[in-house]
Amino acid sequence: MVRHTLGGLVCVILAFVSGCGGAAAPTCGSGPGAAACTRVLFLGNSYTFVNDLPSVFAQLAHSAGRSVEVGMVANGGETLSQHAASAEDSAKIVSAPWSYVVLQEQSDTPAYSSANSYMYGPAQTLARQAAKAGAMPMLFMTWAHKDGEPSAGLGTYEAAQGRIEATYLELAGQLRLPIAPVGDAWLHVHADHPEMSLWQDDGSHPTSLGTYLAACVFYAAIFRASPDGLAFHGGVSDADARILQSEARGRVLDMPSQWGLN
Amino acid sequence: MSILTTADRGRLDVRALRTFRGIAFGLSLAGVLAACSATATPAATPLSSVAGATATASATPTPAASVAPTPAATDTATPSATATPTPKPTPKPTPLPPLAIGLCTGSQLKLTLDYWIGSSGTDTYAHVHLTNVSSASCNMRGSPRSQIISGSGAILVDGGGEIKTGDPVYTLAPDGSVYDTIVWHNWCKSAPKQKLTVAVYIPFGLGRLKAKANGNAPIAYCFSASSKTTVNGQAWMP
Repeated sequence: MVRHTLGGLVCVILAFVSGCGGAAAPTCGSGPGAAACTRVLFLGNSYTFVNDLPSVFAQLAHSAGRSVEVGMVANGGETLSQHAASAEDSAKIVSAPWSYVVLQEQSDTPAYSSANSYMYGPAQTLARQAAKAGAMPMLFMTWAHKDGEPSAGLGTYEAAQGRIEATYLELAGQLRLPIAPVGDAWLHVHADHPEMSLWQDDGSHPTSLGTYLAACVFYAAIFRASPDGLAFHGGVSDADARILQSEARGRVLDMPSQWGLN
Repeated sequence: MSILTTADRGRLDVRALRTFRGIAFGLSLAGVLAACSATATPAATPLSSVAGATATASATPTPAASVAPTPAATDTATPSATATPTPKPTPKPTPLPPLAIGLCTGSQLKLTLDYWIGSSGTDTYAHVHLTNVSSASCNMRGSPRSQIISGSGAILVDGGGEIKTGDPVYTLAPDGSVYDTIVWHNWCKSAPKQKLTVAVYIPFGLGRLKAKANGNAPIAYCFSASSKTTVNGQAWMP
């Protein structure tokens, strides 16, 4: 399979080795504390590599005193099907003792009515690979486009987000996987704080606010802990960071069973 | 025993098809279907299904290597007083590659284009599924070679590709489907005539299927005019 990049960008990072220009993140090292380290591999696309979400997540966790190592395989527009068929992904999954392997589908796909049929097989394959390697697979529920998904008959953001959420929940139920409900948190931030620009001008990719929100959701979902008060703000204002931390905490930890996070 | 090349798939050998039909008929008389199902590939396609593929096959179907035509007792005609049969030389069949045994044929499948996905600056994704419309189970091995077809019938891009030993095999029961996300990448020529659709080749010349168009397709973004246009798909069974 030919794997392509968005603007020639290929991101495969491990810890501080960031092909996307991300900031340094703490590593697990090999000392006695290495066993307590949390390693998270992100398999996604531009929704993951724009603003270097893995690095933002790692720095957020580091600001809480947690030892984290992250990796990423993400090419522009990449689908779960492409990830599942990729030898690079298979090699990456067994390349380190990952604690979590995050699975993110191409952004439009979950908004279509028969999306589950197209996502189930690849997600199952990747989840099995991750589990076999000793990692917990986790679904990355993404956010809808700002203008919805008109070609899927979903003319508003809210309608598209509803479908995306339903698709991920159905898939998570079938495969018994936990979800990082980024899209759900995005929906509530957008409703509660419409002045915050989560989307870039393309109405699709995240601003630094959107990426920071996603990082906070991953923090809450992976550590089952609140990101409230964490010092790392990822370049967003202190006030905005507090809002996003709080929203992430509320959406994830107030109803963990909904996301398979018990 | 050789796997057909891509070029082979484009040729239709009428003689071989006739030979194949004849052999298939003979085999069915000999009652060797059981032998067919005992080959290495699970849930082998009944021979009659393979033979049916000749109607749509675009290459040279050949019977399974493991199926040796064994004359049944009833095939040994008793010579009559007026006719002395002269044995005709039977063309030796070219064995079907082992990877092809039991595979679904074009005549057993229907290709449906569920929808197109894509927008400005992205690849184009076609979600298609292949359904077994026959009454017998058959196997899909790997992912079929895919093509994007313009509204005027031109092949815009051909994915190529070969089936490999390690490819997954999905057994399709009647009405069962496999789902394939076909990704069309880097289209730098002028916009083709709508409505676009998708075609897939079943490996080993076992058929070509074209989906009915389903709305206008978004045109794949041109990332680099110096790079190739590609189309790739991966089939999965839910």
